[in-house]
Amino acid sequence: MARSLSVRDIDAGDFQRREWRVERAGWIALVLVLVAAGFGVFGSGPLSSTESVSGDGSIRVDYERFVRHSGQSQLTATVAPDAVRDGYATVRLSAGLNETMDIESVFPEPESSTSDGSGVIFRFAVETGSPLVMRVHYRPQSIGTNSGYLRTGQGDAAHVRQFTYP
Amino acid sequence: MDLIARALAVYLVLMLLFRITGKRSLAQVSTFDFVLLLVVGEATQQALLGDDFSITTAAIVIATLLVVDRGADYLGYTFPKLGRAMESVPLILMNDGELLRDRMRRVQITEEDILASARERHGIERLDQVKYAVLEQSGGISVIPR
Repeated sequence: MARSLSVRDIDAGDFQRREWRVERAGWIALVLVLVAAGFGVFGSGPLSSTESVSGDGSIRVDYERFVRHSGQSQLTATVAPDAVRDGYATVRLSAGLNETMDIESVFPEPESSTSDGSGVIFRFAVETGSPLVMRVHYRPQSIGTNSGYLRTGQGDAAHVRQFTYP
Repeated sequence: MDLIARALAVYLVLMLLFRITGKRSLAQVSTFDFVLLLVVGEATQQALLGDDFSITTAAIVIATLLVVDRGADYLGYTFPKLGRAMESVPLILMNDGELLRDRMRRVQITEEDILASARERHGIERLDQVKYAVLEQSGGISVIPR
């Protein structure tokens, strides 16, 4: 008859040593992930905040390089005073961006927003001689890299490239 | 579909995290461990459900988690190596009355921890009344008296 299994038979030995090695590697990885998170690799931190300026300087966009799916995110576009015409400025948000953003609010409230094949155009009333600062609060909807641009009037585009984590 | 993928992803992330942090991570059952467990649950909840508060969603997520958990048990039973990798193995800390200090250091368990467990379960007063002490997969310490 076979001897019944006893506490003496527990010998983790090799497996336990391997497990500790893996655990240690895991700890190191975990700490690295947390440090990376602190620096903004997963959004909101120095490595994440960035800006993009159009070639002619007519628009500047401050945004996050890394965002998280459904997480609250913000993008700020600043239109230079000389791009304001007759008290109005327009900002075009390219389709590539617009499709991946669930926009919760645009501030200041645009006078109108129109859509054409290649994006959405917001039109704002602006005091002559002052810049327009437009803030978009949104929640990213598509996972992965998405890119597009913002531009004002017929000016050059400021390109935006974001990575959305799941 | 999205729900099932979310539940799977959360299951895997939690399993990985708790596997890395070791058997003892939340097993000490101090009041604080208990609070921490609740907070982990709270942090997980949003990722699991998003902003969908329907009973259907809750049912699908719970069903997925249970099926995956049972499935993991089944796989672990069928393939013992996989089972060990997922659930770890018990570790003898006191062998025939002799403390295995290098192992205790590795898992950060002190003589007091072993003695506490011996007191709680067997009413044992002194460590020399213990024959075996084993750190179980669950993170608890089981004690066999002399």
